[in-house]
Amino acid sequence: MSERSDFFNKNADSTLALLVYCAIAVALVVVDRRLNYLAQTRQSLIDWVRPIWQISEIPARLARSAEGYFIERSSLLEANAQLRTEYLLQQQELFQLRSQGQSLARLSRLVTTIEAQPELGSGQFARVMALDFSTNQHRLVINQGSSSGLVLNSIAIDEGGLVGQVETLGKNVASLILVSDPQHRIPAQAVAGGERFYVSGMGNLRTLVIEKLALNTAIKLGDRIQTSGLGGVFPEGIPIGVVVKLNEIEGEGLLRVEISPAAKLNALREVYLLPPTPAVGPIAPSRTLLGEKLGAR
Amino acid sequence: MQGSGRETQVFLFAIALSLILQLVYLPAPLGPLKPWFLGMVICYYVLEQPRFIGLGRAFLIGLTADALNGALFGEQAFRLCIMTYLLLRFRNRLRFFPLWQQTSLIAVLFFNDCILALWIRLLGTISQPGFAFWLTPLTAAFLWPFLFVVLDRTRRWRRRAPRL
Repeated sequence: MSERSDFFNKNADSTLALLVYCAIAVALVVVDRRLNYLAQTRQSLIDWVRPIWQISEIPARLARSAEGYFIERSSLLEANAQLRTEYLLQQQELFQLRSQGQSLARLSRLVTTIEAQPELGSGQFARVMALDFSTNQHRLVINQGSSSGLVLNSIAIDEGGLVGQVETLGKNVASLILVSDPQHRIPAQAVAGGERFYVSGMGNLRTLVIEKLALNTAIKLGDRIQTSGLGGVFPEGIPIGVVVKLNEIEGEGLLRVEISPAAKLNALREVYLLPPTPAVGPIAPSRTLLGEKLGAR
Repeated sequence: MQGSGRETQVFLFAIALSLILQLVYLPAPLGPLKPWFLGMVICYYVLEQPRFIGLGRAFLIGLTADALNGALFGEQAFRLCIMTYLLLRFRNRLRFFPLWQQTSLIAVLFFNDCILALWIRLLGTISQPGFAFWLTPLTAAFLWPFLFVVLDRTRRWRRRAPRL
C-alpha cells in the first residue's frame, strides 16, 4: 500500500525528472555526434568495456569451436588457420603488385605516384571481436590496439578489399568504422577510366554508393573501383568494389552509382591492418595529378 | 539498495546479462530481429519491483549500455527514461492485466520505442534501419511471457530458498 501512495505522491516530480533526463540525453546525443566533444571520453571508455566485449564474444567463440570440433580435428583447424593467414598475406602482396602495375601503366604519373606510394608491407592481423549493426552505425571491434602498434586511421582490409579504418583506439582493442557506415567516405577512382570520386556507405553491408556523379562520367556496370590514394590515409590501389547499378537522378543530370563491396563485410572474422598513408602532402600529389589531368585534355 | 540481498543480486545479474546479450552477435537471420533485452528486463522490474528502478537509475543504466555498445551516447538512456516513465504511469493498470493482454501492450510500448529510437538517431546521425527493425517489438512481445515467468520464478525461488 505504501508503495502505491508513494507512486501518487511522486507523480508530479517524476514528470519533471523525465523532462530533465530527456533533455540531458538529447544534449549528450547532440554533443556526441554533431559536435564530437565526447571523442576523448570514448577513447577512455573503450579500455574499460573491453572485458565485457570479451565475455559477449564467448558464445560466438564456443559455437565456432564446437563447429570445428565436429567437422575437423584440431590439426586440420590449425592448418586451416595457417592457410588463411598465408592467403591474406598473398592477397596483400597482390594488392601491392596490382597497384604498382597500374602506376606503370600511367606513365606520366609514374614518378610521383611511386614516390607517394606508401610502404604497404608492415601490417598486422586482428581478430574481429564484436560487431554492432543494431544502430545502423557500422562498427567493428578488433583485438589489437595501440600496444601492438596500431594507430588511429589504420586501414583494415580482408582478402577481398577495403573493410574500413580505425576510428577509436584502446590499448588492446580498437573499433573500426566500416566502409558501409553512412558517415564514411573514401576517395576512390575507377580502375579502368581513372575517374575520381568519393564512395560512401549507406548503412547497408551489401551496397556502397557514389552520390551525384556527373552524367558524362565514363563509368559502366561491372567497373572495378579502388582507392585513389588522394588526401592521405588510404593508400592507392586497394579494391573497394564493383559497380552494380547506375541510376540517373531525375532532373539533376547526375548519376547515383551503387557499388557491391569487394570485402566480405557480412562474414568478417579476421582483418589485416595497414598503417595509414602519412599525410605528408595531400597537396603535393593532388597538384601533380591535377596538372596532368589538365594537360591530358 | 534496500530489499533483500538476493533480490538485488538477481536484479544486477539480469541487468548484466541483458547488457551482454545486447552485444552478442547473432547469425544473419536472427541478428536484426534481436529485441532490446535491456528494455525488457527494465520493463519487468518497473512492473514487478519498482523500488529497483526509478528514472534516475534507468538513465544511468542506459548510459552504461550506450558506453558498452560504443554507439550513440545518450540514446538508450533517453529511450529507457521514456519507457520507465510510461510504465510507472500505467503500472497499476498494467499489472492486473492478464499476461496475454500485457504482452500485446508490451509490443505497442516497444513499437513506440522504435519510433523514439529512430528520432534520436536522426538527431545524432543519418540513419535508415532495415525492415527488420520494425519487427523487433514483435520478437520482444514473443519473448516477454518467457522472460516474465523466468524472472518471476528466479526471484521467488531465491526468496524462498533460505527459509526452506
